[in-house]
Amino acid sequence: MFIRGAISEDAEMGGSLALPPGADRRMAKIQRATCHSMYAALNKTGTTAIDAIFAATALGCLEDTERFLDEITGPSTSLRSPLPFMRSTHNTMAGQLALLLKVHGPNITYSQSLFGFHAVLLNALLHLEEEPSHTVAAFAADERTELATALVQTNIPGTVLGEGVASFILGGTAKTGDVARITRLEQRIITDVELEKIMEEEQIGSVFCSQWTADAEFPKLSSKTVVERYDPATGNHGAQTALALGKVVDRIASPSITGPCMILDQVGDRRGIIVVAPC
Amino acid sequence: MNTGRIAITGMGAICALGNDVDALTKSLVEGTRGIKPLEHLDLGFPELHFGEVALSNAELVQELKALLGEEFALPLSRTALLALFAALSATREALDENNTVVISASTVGGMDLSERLFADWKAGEMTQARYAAEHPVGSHTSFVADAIGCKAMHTTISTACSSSANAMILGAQLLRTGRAKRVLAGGSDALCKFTIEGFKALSAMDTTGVTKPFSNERNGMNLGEAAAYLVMEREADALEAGRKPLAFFAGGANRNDAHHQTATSPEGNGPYLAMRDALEIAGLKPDEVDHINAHGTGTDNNDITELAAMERLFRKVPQYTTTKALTGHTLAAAGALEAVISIICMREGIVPVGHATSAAITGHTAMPVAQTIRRPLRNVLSNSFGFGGNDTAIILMGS
Repeated sequence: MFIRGAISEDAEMGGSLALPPGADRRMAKIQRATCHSMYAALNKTGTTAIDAIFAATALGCLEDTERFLDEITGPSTSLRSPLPFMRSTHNTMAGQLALLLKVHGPNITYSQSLFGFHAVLLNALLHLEEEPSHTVAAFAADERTELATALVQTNIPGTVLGEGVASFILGGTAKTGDVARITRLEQRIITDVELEKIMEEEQIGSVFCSQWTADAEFPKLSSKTVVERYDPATGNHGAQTALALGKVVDRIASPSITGPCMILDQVGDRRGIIVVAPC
Repeated sequence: MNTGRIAITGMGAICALGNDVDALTKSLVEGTRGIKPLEHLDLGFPELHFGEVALSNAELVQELKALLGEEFALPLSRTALLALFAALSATREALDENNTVVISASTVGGMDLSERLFADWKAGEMTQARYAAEHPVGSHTSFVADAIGCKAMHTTISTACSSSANAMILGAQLLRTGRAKRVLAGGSDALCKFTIEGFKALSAMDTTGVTKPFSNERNGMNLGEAAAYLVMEREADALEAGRKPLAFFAGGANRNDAHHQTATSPEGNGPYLAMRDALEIAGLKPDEVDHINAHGTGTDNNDITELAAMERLFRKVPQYTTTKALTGHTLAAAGALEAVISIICMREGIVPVGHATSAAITGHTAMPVAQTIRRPLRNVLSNSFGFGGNDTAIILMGS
């Protein structure tokens, strides 16, 4: 699976493909950020048509969820606005993109803490194996609120909740201008021994790892491997893996990375790995 | 990897029609309806009818402790309790190894707890912060994975009311490509104030009693709650392990209407594409479908657009019904629950009645079945459509 382009920083609108005038004024923060990010990825890669959308979010549209919770825990009334409820569903962002880009193909949103984006890439791979000529939009987005921040600080002391969006344009066959390719995906209970074996098989030189919680234990990897914690740069949130992938893609393009590298996430006893290689 | 047919070798469900597949089968055969005012949940809304599971949280905990032992740390959210109950029921006989991939689905996750947490926070307190751990929609899936001893991948799909139908499609893809040996696919959603108030705000709830889908008198849905899971595996693997397939997952398609966040296009473009492509993937012609378990929420927009799509695709619309008039609309669980119901219908040879209407929706001709029909069913198409223009159709084939 080939990465045509990635956007992992805050994206400003610009380029040939643009949102309809005023469209983003009616959007919630996370929707707006997602649309800007994906449109930037489309413009960066010169993509004008998308066949499928795969998305990840761990906590969904928190602002609208809290807005509607605020309404229903307030005084009883028969005149509640349905807007925050409509926008509270996890697939709001992916649905909005389908609407704007007129994408009638598959549109799936995953939610599984850090592993949502791993499933996104797996589904994109399955789709592109069936339809190699298709172009897939993949993204992850999560937002923080005052309440979510307070809850994380109370429940997991030492963990600072972050937020972010990263977008990718993926293809099934190699194309001039591709920035990287994904060669392996795993999400399961992976022992340290299995991990070492995978790294050997894939000839991994660099590992970018995260910690969902501040006290999680990490495997002791071979001394030959360059290990870097990526989450201090991305913050801790459900979209952090996607942001890490975006940064890895940037380094491959620079090119400060010349060989295969691995993004490694761990939640409890489960691990997710993404092997990324230069084209 | 071309792996042949995808067999369904286990299923479990808990909904307003029964706490297990046997009870659900009995209710469907006898034509029982599960829609009534709330009895077990203290949510208010005395003016509305629901498809409520007939077990309180305390009773669910008691049942689960008997199955999992006292030492298993049970969840607190109703969505997760229901999920565990149905998942354990599905895997009781069909599962014999722990490399099963778990793909679940939910829209509300632990919202029943989040409502309490939020009220607490609004009052300036933080005494219920621990409930936040179960807020994510994927939390219940982790409980299921731990309970069945899953060491393989587990994930959660949240595409509103099409979620668990999409879980089955992903499961079939993983099996066909050899990336999974066995899949537990399904979903769970519990009734909570958030969704009830949400659909009330959308004026999508039937305020007169029981929903009347596909009739000119329809005026909204009854919400329900459920969890349903199906064990999927390659036919050859099932037979080798001595498990007789209950049915086959013949194919499915997820397509997007790309028209509006919460309303379907007048022509039913998304539903049409989903049904058409599901048939193509299954290798079936429209006239080979014996029965449609329609999405049929009873809302003005859904029923007329779904009917438009069915009339567009089928020269003669197959006998169709909506079991949401019996179970309530169980949101993310609906796709898997209605897959279980479809398999029961094939096994029992019945097309159940949802709501019997005396006239077709104005401008249309195809009417839902008005009385239980007894006949052999080979291929059943089941529709699940959701917010975000998310439209899914799956096809179950008799064994």
